[in-house]
Amino acid sequence: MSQFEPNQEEVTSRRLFLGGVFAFLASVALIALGSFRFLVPNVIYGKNQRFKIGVPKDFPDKQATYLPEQQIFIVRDGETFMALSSVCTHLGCAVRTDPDKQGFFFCPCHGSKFKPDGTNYAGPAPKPLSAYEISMNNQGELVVDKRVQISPKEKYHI
Amino acid sequence: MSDQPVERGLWRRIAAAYRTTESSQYLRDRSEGRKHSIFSSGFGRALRSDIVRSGPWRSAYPRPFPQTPKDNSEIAITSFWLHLHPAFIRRDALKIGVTYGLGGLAAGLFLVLAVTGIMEMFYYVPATEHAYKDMVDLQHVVSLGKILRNMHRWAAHAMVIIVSLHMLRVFLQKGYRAPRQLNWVVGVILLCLTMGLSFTGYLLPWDQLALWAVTVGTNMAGSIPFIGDKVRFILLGGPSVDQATLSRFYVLHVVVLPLVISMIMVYHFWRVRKDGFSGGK
Repeated sequence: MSQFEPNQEEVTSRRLFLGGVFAFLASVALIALGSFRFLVPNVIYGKNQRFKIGVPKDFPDKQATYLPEQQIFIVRDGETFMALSSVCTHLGCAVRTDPDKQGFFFCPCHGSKFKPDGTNYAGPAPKPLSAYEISMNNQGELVVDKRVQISPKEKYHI
Repeated sequence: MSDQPVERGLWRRIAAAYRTTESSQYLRDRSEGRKHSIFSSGFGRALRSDIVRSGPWRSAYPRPFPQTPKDNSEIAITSFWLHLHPAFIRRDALKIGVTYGLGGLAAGLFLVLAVTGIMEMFYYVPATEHAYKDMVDLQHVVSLGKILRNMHRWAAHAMVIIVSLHMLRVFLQKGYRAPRQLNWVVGVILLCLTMGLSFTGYLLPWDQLALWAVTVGTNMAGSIPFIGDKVRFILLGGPSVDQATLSRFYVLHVVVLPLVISMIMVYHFWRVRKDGFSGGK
């Protein structure tokens, strides 16, 4: 027996070594997966998506009234009402009423422009502003439901 | 005016000073009978021998004081602090025209950012009700706060610019070619981390600019096909920029990214030593 022959009692078998390596890699993968899952929140404490906005006479005619808490515009045209999202469809900035054009909207970030019904007509915005469902409760108050998106043509008549 | 020959040019003088190692200065001082340091006085000598003979000192410096260039290089190889430090450096590598010192400038800016950033943390609370007020207080109420915050701000802008110029310089001088391919890749990772630090730091003042910049930035991530919405949700910690986002960006900005970038920076510098300065040829 040569002096370079390993002591058989101290030798780790290939099976044991590979088992150890796999166990180590598996635990690393498990911890990585767990850490990733940890970073995805399960509960979001946000505002109610369905909310009262007040009686129809609170809203001036032919104008867009901004509700900053809810990030929507209430657009009134005589008897019809629309709830338009103020979130720009380009990259999510807050749209404002256009000071030069009554009833129109524009985005201060990248200059997208929208018509009073939310249709995009200039700038990089790819889609019209989202419109949400409006209904009326028994007390005669308007209720907006941001979970329900509607076509801008479906205006609410009181 | 002295008639001693003087190396002309700033960089040549620095290179000459560099060549004059500590040990050769020590030997010259001794042979010319000059006092070497404050430890040459009686009390100083006793103090010095006490320090030098103490256990921790001998454990830190197991070798005697270097007397020859060979000692110098052996110490440079075995010492933890000096192993990043080259035993030799080519005069060419110190020419301003070769590397423009851009990598060194970027590293220096990182140190400035680390120090000023830690100081800002003494006053800044990453909560939506506090963040903006704390930032304004830092600007207008805290002594020297304005200069501190502006140092952090301008050093951050400068770091992005300098890092980009450093990359451009390496590219134009073909510094990415053999044997430095790996260090180029490491450098690209460092560039991405610099951008990440820049973006996460952008939200912390919690003003309108910060809010909308991060809204826009994360919406861009949201436009990745298939997984975009999920990526955006994880980045923001919710459906929109809110407290969860501020906490996430704060932790990334002050702990995770600086830690990762410092470790990769150390490797980057070590590789520069091992591969040789790209300006050498």
